[in-house]
Amino acid sequence: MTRGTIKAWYLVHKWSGLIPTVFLLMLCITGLPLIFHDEIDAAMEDGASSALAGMPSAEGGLPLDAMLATALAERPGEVPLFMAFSTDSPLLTVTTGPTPDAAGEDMSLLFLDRASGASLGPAPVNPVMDFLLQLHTDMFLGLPGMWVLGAMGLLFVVALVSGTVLYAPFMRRLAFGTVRADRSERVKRLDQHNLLGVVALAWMAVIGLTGAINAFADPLTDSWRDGEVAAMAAAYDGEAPLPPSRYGSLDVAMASAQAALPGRSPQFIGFPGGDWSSGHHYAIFFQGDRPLTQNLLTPALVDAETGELTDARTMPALNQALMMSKPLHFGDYGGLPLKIIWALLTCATIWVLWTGVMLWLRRRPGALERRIEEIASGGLRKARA
Amino acid sequence: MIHFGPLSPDQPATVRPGRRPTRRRSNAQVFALPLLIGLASLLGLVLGLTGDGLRDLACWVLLGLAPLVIMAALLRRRTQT
Repeated sequence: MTRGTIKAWYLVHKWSGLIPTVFLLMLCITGLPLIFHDEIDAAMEDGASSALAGMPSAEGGLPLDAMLATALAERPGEVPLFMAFSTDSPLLTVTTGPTPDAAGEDMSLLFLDRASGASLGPAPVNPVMDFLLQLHTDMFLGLPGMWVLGAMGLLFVVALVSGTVLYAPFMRRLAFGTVRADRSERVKRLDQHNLLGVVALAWMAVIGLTGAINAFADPLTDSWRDGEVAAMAAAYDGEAPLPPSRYGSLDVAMASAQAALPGRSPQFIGFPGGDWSSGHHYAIFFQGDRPLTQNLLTPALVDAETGELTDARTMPALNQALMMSKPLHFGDYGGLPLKIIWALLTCATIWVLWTGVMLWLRRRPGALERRIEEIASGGLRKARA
Repeated sequence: MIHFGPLSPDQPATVRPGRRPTRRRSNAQVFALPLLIGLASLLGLVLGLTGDGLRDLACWVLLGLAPLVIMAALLRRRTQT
């Protein structure tokens, strides 16, 4: 690699790293407690929902129409937006709002027990975790905030690629894992930056990419609804949206959907007029029937008035990638040990970012040429500086 | 710009005790271990995502390799000096 090539990659690495650093540090620090949100939530609510005994709500229990009636009795005047199922416990959640297309902040989430039929009241709120999640998702700036963070995630991936390219000439003469702690503070930082960066590389790339995909999730869902759902519901074109007073039986709708997709567990139902359905359908989302496909959802559109199946189609590849990228970003699919590993790797990422900033802050005049020389010579020359 | 000093890329580097400043290593040698750790991480992520039980266990071991290597490398240098 010539010094000119190294210089180009060095500048790419420097700026693709420095620009998103403040955002990435914020994402790492807010992300650390979010990894453990299940545990924190469970501790705060005294295990009310985890103590439920009975058949998982995704497999069976009391009729869905009865559960929905119980939920709506608690929120008079509101309409149902979502009903979601658990594959572990009888917990069933119902989201309501003032109108079928209500915005997120106007929605209320209710917990119910599908085994006993009892309402467990509003979902417990945790202001601290909600604040952290909002900061982590869009910095309280809505869609533009999400896109800024998505772009920072993509810059992070550029920094990872360019850093890997520079790793090759730098490590020509250094053994893997070398940390020269007996030299200057700068050399120690540089070696730690390179070691932690290359070891956590694969995980950081996955987190950066899946985070960016999640940041562009809303437009992807909108395009699925406007394209695929609209095509599936083409026969309803020109009809006015179905008013909530004419919504038919959920149990009939669920039965027709399960006849079309046998052996699968429902994950949630999108009610008519919301982001996840057409104006006339219950969109019932089923999990895949094999371990490999359990995170991939297949929606069945069922006429919300008659309960007859309209169509069931797997989602487009891009939307499927979006579904896979959620668990991959959250790290919540492999129990507590995986979460601990997630937290350790987040700490490693924080250290890579921090040493990167410090290497830049503590630079001296003429630093650029020295750095290029240092990388080109295999990490040895000028290392004393 | 080519240097012909004692640390020129064309000559063997001086060996310092306690460390192995190796001869010039190829890209394959430089990236062998990082690649292994990276592939283990990715395999672990996928295995954990596609099942429970044994797959989760494999996921923890494979993905846990990266933080273990980091801790080992940072601790090793502490005991060395």
